[in-house]
Amino acid sequence: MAAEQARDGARAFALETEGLDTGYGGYAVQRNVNLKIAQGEIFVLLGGSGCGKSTVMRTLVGLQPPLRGRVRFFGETFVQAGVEPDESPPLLRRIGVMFQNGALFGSKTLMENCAIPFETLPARPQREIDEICMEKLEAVGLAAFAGHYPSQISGGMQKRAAIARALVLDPDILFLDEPSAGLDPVTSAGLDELILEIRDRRRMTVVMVSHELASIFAIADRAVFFDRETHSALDEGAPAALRDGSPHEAVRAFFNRTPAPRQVER
Amino acid sequence: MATEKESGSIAERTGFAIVSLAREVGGIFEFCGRLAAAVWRACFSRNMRSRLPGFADIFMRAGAEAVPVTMLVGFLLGFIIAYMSAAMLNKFGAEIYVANLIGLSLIKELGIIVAAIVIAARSASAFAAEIGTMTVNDEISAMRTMGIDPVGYLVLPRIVAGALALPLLSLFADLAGLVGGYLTLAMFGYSAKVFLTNAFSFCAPADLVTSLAKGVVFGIAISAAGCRCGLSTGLGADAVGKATTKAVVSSLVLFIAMDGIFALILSARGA
Repeated sequence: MAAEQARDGARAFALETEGLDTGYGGYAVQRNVNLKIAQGEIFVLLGGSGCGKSTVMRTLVGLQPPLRGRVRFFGETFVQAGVEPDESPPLLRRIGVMFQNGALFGSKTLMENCAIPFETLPARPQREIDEICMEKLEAVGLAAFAGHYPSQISGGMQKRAAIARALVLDPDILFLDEPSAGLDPVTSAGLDELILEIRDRRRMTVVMVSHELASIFAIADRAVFFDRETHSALDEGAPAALRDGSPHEAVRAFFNRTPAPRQVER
Repeated sequence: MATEKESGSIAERTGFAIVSLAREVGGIFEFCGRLAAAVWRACFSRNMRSRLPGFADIFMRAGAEAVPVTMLVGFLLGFIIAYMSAAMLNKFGAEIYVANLIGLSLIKELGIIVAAIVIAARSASAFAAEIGTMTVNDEISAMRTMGIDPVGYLVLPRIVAGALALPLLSLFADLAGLVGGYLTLAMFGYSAKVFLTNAFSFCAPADLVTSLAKGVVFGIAISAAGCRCGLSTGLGADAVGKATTKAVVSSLVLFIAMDGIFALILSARGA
């Protein structure tokens, strides 16, 4: 899909990074990340624990300033190293983010949580806001729980509610941080179906961090593997191609669930 | 295992402390700048819902729900000061001046101090815990990705609530303190009318206005300290506990230091 878009030439990629270094306090956890993600693609950030994929995700959504390089959405620069980011850039309205734990506001009902993004927009009639929120909650199968607080629903439902909130402004790119983590296989499969449905309905681009191999093979178009040792993206491609044909041992070991040799802590 | 902070030479530790202090000061300036920007945006926001979200609830919790404890502390303080003073002044037949002492001290200083301590203990800690928990749970990050400024959305309503609640609570503390003082003098056979006449004889309306103005400033400072501690919470549940403790300690120190500065300024102006 990325290749098709590259051939197209006229249209920009939904998400593009150029020489991105990301990390904390000057220490780069991943270096020289160059991603090109096409519109309508489901793209997965992969890697072992502690490799920095969540940090890369935080940089992509503007929460962690890059140490070097830039992130572009649809050809427009969203964040750039050394440039103070705008508090509320218009491009933020084109993305929706679901955090690993849902990050729903505990003091608000699911309906009120979904209405939060409207705070940044010029005033709209409450009825209109309620209708949009209810539509999104229906899309994730939670319409009956609109008046519930996050603490009154299960972890899987919280994740779906967080997706509904991320979708409320009809974003072009949806970022999902480990959507299947901690869920049982059936709930996880349901969430995979929901993500595919959302992508197919609106040709939305989905960028997700995931460890769940079943989910990755079920929904991902492409994936990039980040390595903890070399602090770089080792390989990129379709999940099956990475599993079967990656020249990198670490990538094949990840997909084939081969344990790494034990290391003695010093 | 020794942490980076604990290990190293004295020079390293001193350097570490200086860098930490510089970061803290820088953080305070950054917070003040963000707050000023949030005030500016709130003043010109076209969306009324986003000006002070949740203000009514916050004000109820910080103000109305604090009235009983403020009045109790004010009453006990007025009663104890009056009782201790009366026991001494009674030896000279001057116990009636207890009313002047109570009136002056409550209206000029003690009412505000009681309200400030209550706000610091109840609200600054609550603000730090609420915002700190939101930070740990990624709710603040979620807000940022939605284009919502956490300072405008969470901090500003709390600061406005604190700025309004503290002077109002100080009036309740004054009232309860006067009742406590009167109960003491009633034991010496003085009427309420005599007590009130003496209590207000040394006070001018300007004293009350100055006191309320101080209350607004303390309310802003205490709420801001609580919210900043919440926003700068680290990771993990213990970080929320540390932020809460820091909020109470820093807000208490802050308002007492500010009270000292007010005392110097007002005495220089002869007030």
